[in-house]
Parts: sequence; structure tokens; C-alpha cells
Amino acid sequence: MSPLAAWLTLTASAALFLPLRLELALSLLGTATLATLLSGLTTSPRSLLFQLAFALPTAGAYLIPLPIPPDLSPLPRLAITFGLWSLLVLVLLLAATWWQRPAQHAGETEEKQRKEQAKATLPNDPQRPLLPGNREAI
Amino acid sequence: MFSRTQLYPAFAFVGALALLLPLAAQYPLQTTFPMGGDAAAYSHAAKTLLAFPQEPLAAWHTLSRSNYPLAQVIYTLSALVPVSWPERFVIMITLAHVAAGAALSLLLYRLGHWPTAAAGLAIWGLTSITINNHLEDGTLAQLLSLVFLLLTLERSLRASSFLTLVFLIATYLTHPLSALIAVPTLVLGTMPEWLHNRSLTARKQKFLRIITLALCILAILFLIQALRGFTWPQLALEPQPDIIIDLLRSKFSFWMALSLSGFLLLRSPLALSFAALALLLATNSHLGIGLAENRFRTYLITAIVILSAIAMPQLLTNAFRASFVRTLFVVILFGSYAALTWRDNSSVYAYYENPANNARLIPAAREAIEWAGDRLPEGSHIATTAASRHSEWIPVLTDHTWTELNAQHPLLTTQREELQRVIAEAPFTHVMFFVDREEVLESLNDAQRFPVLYQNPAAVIMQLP
Repeated sequence: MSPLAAWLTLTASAALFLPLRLELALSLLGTATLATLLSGLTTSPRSLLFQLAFALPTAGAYLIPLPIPPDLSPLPRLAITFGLWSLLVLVLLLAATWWQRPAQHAGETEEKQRKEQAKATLPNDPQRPLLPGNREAI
Repeated sequence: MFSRTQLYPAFAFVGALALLLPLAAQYPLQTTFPMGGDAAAYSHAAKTLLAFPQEPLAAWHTLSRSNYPLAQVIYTLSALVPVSWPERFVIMITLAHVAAGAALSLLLYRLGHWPTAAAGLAIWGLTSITINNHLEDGTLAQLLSLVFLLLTLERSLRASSFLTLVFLIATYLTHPLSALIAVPTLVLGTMPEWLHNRSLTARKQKFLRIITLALCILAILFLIQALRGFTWPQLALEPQPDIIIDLLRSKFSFWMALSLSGFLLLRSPLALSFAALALLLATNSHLGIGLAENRFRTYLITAIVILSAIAMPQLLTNAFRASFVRTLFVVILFGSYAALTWRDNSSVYAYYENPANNARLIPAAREAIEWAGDRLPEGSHIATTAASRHSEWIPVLTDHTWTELNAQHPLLTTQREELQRVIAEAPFTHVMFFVDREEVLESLNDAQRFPVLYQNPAAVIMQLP
């Protein structure tokens, strides 16, 4: 997180705490959130995949009302809503985990190739630099 | 000797405890009695459990019919403290608040590092009254279950399968609502790990297998129950104040603001699941459910504390490069917050202590009940009306039997000869009126027939022939 985002967040939070006018504090908070989000996105877009896996279904739950019969009592309503929400989050979490997997795998392969290459160049490579203390080479 | 960096964690935790402990101790120091809720019911049940050797069946019924049997057992253990039940309740709920802070701090240590753990402990310390409502509502069981819920999450982060399951069961047995959030949190927090199972350590692989097996067993039990048909408890929809607006208008808003950054910084799906579920449950009327939002408030507050404690160290490090300025900011912030919280708590306690507000058992009513406990003969049966909740303490502070009469009871509605017949047939030996909330019934206001045994500004105790 950038220092600017950190400052904005602290200022906005303090404005809520003092308390200044709620609307002003909330708009500051919105700016701070945006700044934090942007700084997070610019540093590592992939690091926010887990957050998105939770944020999208949660926002969806508030914005898109489920077609539940109105005569159902609260507990079945809770079970249906949270069951569907959990299912969606689980699918997105699995997708996020899968999405991060190739990167990790690619990183591992790259590292393995680099090590193998380094190993291959060690004993008999004529271009191998002479290192101080390398008695064999001397 | 210790270096400065080695001493920082110690300073941070001492500072956090210096904030948490006095604000928690303010409750027993500034109040003389539990403020409300089911304190009397907890104490009555504890007395029944203590009578287990004499009446094992009554003790078993108390436990088997309770929604939070483990909480009841833990509270019963407080009988070892040599004070009376009301004071024990105050002490136990205060200890539960501190224990929840400690469990939260431990979880945050797993999620972050010592600055996160210390920040969480300090922020939790600021929530005792007006933000969290356990102390005010006397909801001891849910507060105890929060401790086990947080320990379940902490142990699952450490991949300790045995203790995770033990704490999960303890969570359910202390309060089912906490289990309602613990189970989906564990599902969402652990199941995606199957995708990279091979790259996990042997300990984590074992943990994943055991937890998956346990969750599968739970799902099968749930399905069997679903096929048999659920009997949903009847719950009334009650209009609730919007908790988000409520918290934004409180002094907790600072931490709510920080929690947004915490959400972006958090890397644990387990903690993210908990936070998202807590938010949805606490605002479920916005989802068209409308189920006891006030009960879910505590999980949302806990989630906000977790998220803001995650954000705080990173924000401070990025905003203030010099450690002196950073420390100064933290001291001013938490110092001003602690002062505000102490002042606000004091006014809440003063409100409850004021007898005119009828927010708790007043000292005069307690004196009357204790007089009845000491002076009335063994086996007395005291009847009261439902005008005051003071009467709930009669079976706790005395060994006598107590019955609360509804407004249509013949003892309260009949006159003269008919009344005489009702009294002769009824099992009651005494009747008690709490005159700070009601008046002595006209039909019973006859000193010749119903002698007054005790009277003070709060209560009248009369003997029935």
C-alpha cells in the first residue's frame, strides 16, 4: 500500500472518529478506499483474487434479490440465501486458487530450469568464470 | 540485555493490556448488579446443576433443554468464587470479555504478527459497552462461544485437526449461532486447499483430510435431518436498526474505515470467509431474511476488529516512517479512545445504577428478597405478578419456590370468598409485590387476613393463610 493511500485512509477514519459531518467523512472514506484499491491493484492484481471471490457474491446478494416465496420463515430463507452464496464463493475461490496455480507452477519450472542450467555449466564448461578460491579451476 | 526491537512486542502487549483490563474491570467496579438479560436464569440453572447429587434428573433436564449447555457448565464452575450469584455473573462475563480478547489476539498473531495481535487486543478492549452488547444484555453464553469460535479458527490456521474439532464442538455447545458461522467459515476457508494438496506439508494434508471427513459427516447428518423434515423454530420478524449506520455513527467508525483496507490486505480465505459471513448475517434484513440481526452483531464487530488490526500496522508503517512519530500517533489515538470509552461506559453504568430507570434489580428489592431467603420458613412458595423482573432473582437468592402469576390468575382477579377459596387451593404461602413497579392489590390489602411480614420502599411481602 502506498503512503498516500495510508494517509488518506487514516485521515478519512479520523474524520469519522472526530466526528465531522458523516457525509464528508464518508466521501473521504470513499476516496481512501479507491486509493487503497488502486494501490493494491497496481502492486499485485492477482493478490486481490481472493477478495473478489468474496466481494462479488456479497455485493450480488445485496443487489439481486432471490426469488424466495414470501411465506417462508426466516430460517429457511437464511439457509437458501447462505447456501447459494457459499456455493458461489466456493466456486470463485476454487477458480482463484486454480488461477494462481499456473503462475506458481510456471515459477517453479523456471526456477528448476535455471538451477539445471547452472548445474550443467559447472564442471566442464570452458566459459565458466574462474572464481577466487576455486582450486579445481586453478 | 534486550535490544529495542526485542522489547517492542512486550511494550505493545503491555500497552494493549493496559487498555483492555481497566475498561473491562470498569464493569464490576462501577456497577452493583448485572444489568439485564438472562443473568437470573443462568444463575438459577447453575444452582440446579450444583444440586446434581441430590436431584440428578433436574440437573440433566436443565442441561439437555439448554441451547448452550457448555456455557452453563462453565458458569456453574464460578460457584468456586466465594461471592453471591449476581456478583459471580458480573465477574464471569467480564472474564469472558477478556478471554475473547486474548483468543482474538492469538488468532491475529497467526494471521499477521505481534503488532497485529497487540492492535487487535487493544481495539477489542474498546468495545466492551455500547459497541458490543454482551455486558449490557447479559449474553454470557454467546460471549463464551465467541472465545471457542476464535480458537477454532486459530487452531485451523495451525492445521491442528484435533483441537480444531474440539473447539468447534465447544463452539456449538456454548451457542449454536456461533457454530452457524464457524462451519461455513471452515468449509470456505479450507476446501480450496484441496487444489494444491500435493504442495502442502504432511501436517496440513492430514488436517485437510480430517476436517473434510468431519464436514462430510456433518453434511450427511444435515441431509438425513432434511429428509426427515426440519421443524424450524418460529421466529418473529422484528424491525432492527441498521447496524452499519449505527456503527458508523458511533466511535467505532474509525475501525470500520480501517477494516476496508484490512479486507484488501488480508490473504487468508478463512478470515475473509468469516468477515464476509459476519457482514451478511448482521445485515440479513437487507437480504430479505430479517433474522435476529442484533444477535449477529458481535461477529461483525469481531470481523471489523480483525480487519482493522490487520490494516493498522501496515498503514502506520507506510504513513509514518519514523518509529517515534508512529508510536506517538498510536499513543494519542488509543489514549483518546480509551478516555472516551471510559467516559461513555461510566454514563451507561450510571444509567443502570439509577433506581428510577428500572434497568436492573435495585438494592432495596434485593434486600427484600434476601430477607425472604433468611426469614421465611423452609418450603415457602412465593407468588409474584409479572409487573417487574426483580422477581426472577427470588429462586436465585433464596431456596424457596417461586411462581410468576399471569394477569388472569384467580389470585389476582377474584374477591372475598372466592379469593379465600383460591388461596386455600393454591400452593402459595406468600405473595410479594415490588411496589416500585406496581401497587399492592386492593383485594389483598387487608392486614388482618394477609399480614405484612416485610416492607421497604421497593417491596412488600405478605403471608397467605
